[in-house]
Amino acid sequence: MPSNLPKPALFLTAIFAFLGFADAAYLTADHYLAVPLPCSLTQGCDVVLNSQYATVGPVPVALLGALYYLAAFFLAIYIFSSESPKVSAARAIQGLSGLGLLASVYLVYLQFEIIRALCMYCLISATMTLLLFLSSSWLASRMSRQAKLPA
Amino acid sequence: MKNKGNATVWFAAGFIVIATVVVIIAAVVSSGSLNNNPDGTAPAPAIAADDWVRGSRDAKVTLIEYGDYQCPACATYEGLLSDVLPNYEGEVLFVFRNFPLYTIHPNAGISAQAAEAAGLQGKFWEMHDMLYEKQQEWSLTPTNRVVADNFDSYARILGLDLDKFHEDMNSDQVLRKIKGEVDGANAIGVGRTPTFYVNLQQIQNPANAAEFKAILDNALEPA
Repeated sequence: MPSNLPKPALFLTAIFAFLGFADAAYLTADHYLAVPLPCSLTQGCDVVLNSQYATVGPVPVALLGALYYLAAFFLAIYIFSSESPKVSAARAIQGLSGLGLLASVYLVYLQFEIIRALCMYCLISATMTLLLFLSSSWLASRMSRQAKLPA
Repeated sequence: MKNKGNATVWFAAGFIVIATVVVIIAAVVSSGSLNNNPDGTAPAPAIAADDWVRGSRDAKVTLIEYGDYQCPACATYEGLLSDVLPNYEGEVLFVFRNFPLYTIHPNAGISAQAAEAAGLQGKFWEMHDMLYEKQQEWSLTPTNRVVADNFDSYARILGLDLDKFHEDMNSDQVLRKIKGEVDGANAIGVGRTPTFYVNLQQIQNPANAAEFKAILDNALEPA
């Protein structure tokens, strides 16, 4: 771990990524394993819930979310365990969570305006992504500022 | 020495992630296994004295709906039923039982309570119809405001005593009735809303009014 690492920013980034991962992993497990409780127009067809928006092709959005949080989490661990400052890794988390934020805005819009049903775990995920974006931006700006300072 | 420290960090991170996944899978599996009858073959509980019914209790055919007032599909079926049921006066008894999908519809529980509370003032079906008719209006209101912002005005339109309406909504009687219906539905494996039972046997949700009529006609035919 580099001695001048902005620890609070890194710590928050890892925590938000981890919480987001746990949340998305729960939704993924629920998608594959649990008995669904949909509100549906025809039997066995989850039209009204969010099935048409809950998957991209055969892949559930929740799984994509879990992988994205996991990547952010391991990038944070990578920064923590590296001996030299890894500004690019911090930028990668920031970029990932920026994309995640755009996706979250769209998904929250879908819940409010199109599906007209709110999923608490999805809203938690959107919040985690917002927090992750803020903390990783903080981390990236602190690390890149420090990298420019003369050693 | 440094490498050893790094390995420990990676090991701990990997362990935490794997442990989290295992705990989540175990939790989801155990909650999913609560469904006793996923294929829907168990009969619905018989019509009870405290069931809300439309039509004659002597009717030959019973149609039970397990519904959720915040479920858009249930609102669609409400429209379908209001076209179909008038054709079967005296022949079909319609029963509505609550099955609020608490996890996906934050206002499902409170709306069920509102309908039940209206029922204690003799206006169950009026509130039932109004909740479905105005579903878009109240669905997205935050749960802590939905009574004041929406349901109170419906109660006023129906001429309900507001104080009693509020009191009844959270009364033991109302909460117990809803819980009883939810427990009953879980016991027979109701997995979605709306779920319909004709003569206590689950049916596939009909796609349109004509299919609904065909099912009821079939049930009315002498065996």
